[in-house]
Amino acid sequence: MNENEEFNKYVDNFKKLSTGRKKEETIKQMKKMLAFIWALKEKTGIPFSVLYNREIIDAKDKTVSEDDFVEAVFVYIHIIKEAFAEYVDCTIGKEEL
Amino acid sequence: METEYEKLKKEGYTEEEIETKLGPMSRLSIDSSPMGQGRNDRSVTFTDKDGTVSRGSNIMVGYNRRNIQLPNGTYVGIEEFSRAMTKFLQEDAENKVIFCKKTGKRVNIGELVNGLREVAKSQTGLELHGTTDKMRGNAYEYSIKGESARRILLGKKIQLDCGQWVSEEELLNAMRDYVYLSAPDKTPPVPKPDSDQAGISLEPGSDKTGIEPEPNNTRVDNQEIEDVTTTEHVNKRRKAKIAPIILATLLTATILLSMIGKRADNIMATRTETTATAGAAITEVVEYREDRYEEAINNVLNSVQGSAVGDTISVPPGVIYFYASPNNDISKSRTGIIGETPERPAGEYEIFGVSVLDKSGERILDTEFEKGTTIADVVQRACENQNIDLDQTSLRISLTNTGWIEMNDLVKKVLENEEITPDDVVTAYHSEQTYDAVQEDFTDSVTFKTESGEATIKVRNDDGSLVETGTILEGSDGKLYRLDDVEVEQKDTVTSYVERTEEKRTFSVSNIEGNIEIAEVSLFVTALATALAAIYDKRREEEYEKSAKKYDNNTKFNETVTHMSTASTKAGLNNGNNENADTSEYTGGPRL
Repeated sequence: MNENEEFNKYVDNFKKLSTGRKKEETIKQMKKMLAFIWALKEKTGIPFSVLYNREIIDAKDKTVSEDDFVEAVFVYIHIIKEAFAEYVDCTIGKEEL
Repeated sequence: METEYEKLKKEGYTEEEIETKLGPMSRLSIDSSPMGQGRNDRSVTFTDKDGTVSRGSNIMVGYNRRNIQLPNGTYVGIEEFSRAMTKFLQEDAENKVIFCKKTGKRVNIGELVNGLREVAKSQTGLELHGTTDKMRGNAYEYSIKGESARRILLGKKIQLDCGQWVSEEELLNAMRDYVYLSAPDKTPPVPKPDSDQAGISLEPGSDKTGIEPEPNNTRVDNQEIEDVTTTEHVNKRRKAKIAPIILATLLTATILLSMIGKRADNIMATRTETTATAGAAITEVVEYREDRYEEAINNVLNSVQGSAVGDTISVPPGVIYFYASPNNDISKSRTGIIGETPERPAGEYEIFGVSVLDKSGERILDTEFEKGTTIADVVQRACENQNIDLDQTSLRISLTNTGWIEMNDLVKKVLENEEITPDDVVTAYHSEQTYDAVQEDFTDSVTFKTESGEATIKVRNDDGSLVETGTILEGSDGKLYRLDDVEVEQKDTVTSYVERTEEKRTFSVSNIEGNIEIAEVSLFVTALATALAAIYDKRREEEYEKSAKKYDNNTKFNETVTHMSTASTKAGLNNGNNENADTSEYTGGPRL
């Protein structure tokens, strides 16, 4: 089974979860991504400069509402986007891009 | 035709009893007179306040697929009954007291009248709506328990009150639950008679009024009331008017009590297991068109055929009449058109005679001029004598001082007058074979096997009620089915620890090609479903975690993270498989 087939199966099983669990898993995956970037920054000595918005607090509960969930995802994406861009800026530099 | 008076006389009623029995009220007597196989039409005789008796047209319940109940018997109008009651109390009931036999309590007259209204609402069999614009003369529209107002032709001289009409028998039966006493009178009770007859109240002002309440004390013990009541059954038919009203109160009370009981059941139901069984019959429809036109024709035909020589019928404008006798070639006769001259206006005409001819209209099969003979009887007699079917005949009716009219022309003009055209034809052709099925886990649809596979039809409306019988439904196989019957039986079983609802429904399904198939399915909703849901949730979670682990282990993301973790244990990252992964585990980052 190739990677994409595994991924498809993984997504299929994700689809069978309850909506609450799907939200939980989605937030978890974004946190992993964020942690990864921060780890990279740590290893390369890049200081933290984190965006923050209190909307992500609402996503901690499994029974988060649709509105709160979407707002939290929106905030996470921006945090990840900014953190990654900062990492790229500090490691490769704008001139090399 | 035997009148109500003759009938009662034959049964041994005295003149006084007959007067009381008939009273000054109008009555409407319904007798069974089926117009054909599977139909449920009723012949009707009217008696007005003056005692004039007339045979009207039939009440049409038709094929009665909705199973409208209209028992035979005599019906009286509630409004007229109320007036008679009031009049009686004012004129005859002075110094009288009415007691409820069951409670021993005095009954207030106002309560009685209000109770009567309540009974009328629940017991009404028939409602007359008055004359219609389209049918001049004595034609009333009527409805049976709120179902489909139709038209009935009354005799020429009959005028009836519009409104609700209820069964006289029901009202008379109720009289047995009450006593009616003269106020202070020390006369001893009337001995109990041998015979048991309908009726209850005492003779007003009579010495035979039996037990009465002591002055200023209206309470009577149950035994006394029972005795008096039994006594009153005997001779007091004359006061029949009062009892139904009293009955109303009783019935109202009964209804209230039953409602209270129901409420208690509902409370129990919170801990009750419900099992429902439903039976249904479904017929596949081969072709479907609405049949208002055919029904309208039948209604006119039946109305006319229910009339008798001497009765009046309503003749709409445009009907052609002939001066010739029915055995002449009417095409060469002098003719006229109803409604075109002041001498022959549209409206009521007396039936002078009737002639049944063969289908071509050239040969007379039977003729009748004797008053009281119904047209239906003449037609039936002609068919039997000639050994032919009804559709091989034609009919002509002689109108007094006018001439002959043809039945076909009359029907045609009535339909034109009511603006019913052949375009309104609606017919459902269907097969007669049926499928029977029992299905559990019923929500709103039932699936049944056909020769060509399976079909599903939805038999529950969006509001939760079952679809009415006779409704045409589209099956999942694209075919049309008629729901002939649905029957639901629900059983409650009390449980103290498990609340479960089980619905089991039985359906009978018919299909043009089908054989009878029976399928049984059982459905449990609530506890069982909840338990299964929990099991399924756990399985789904396990499968997800398994596939997530399998996928993540081979991703470049995980490979990189693992490498970083190995290179620096202080990085604080998970290897991606830790379901508790969180940015907070990264010691250098913020907690999110």
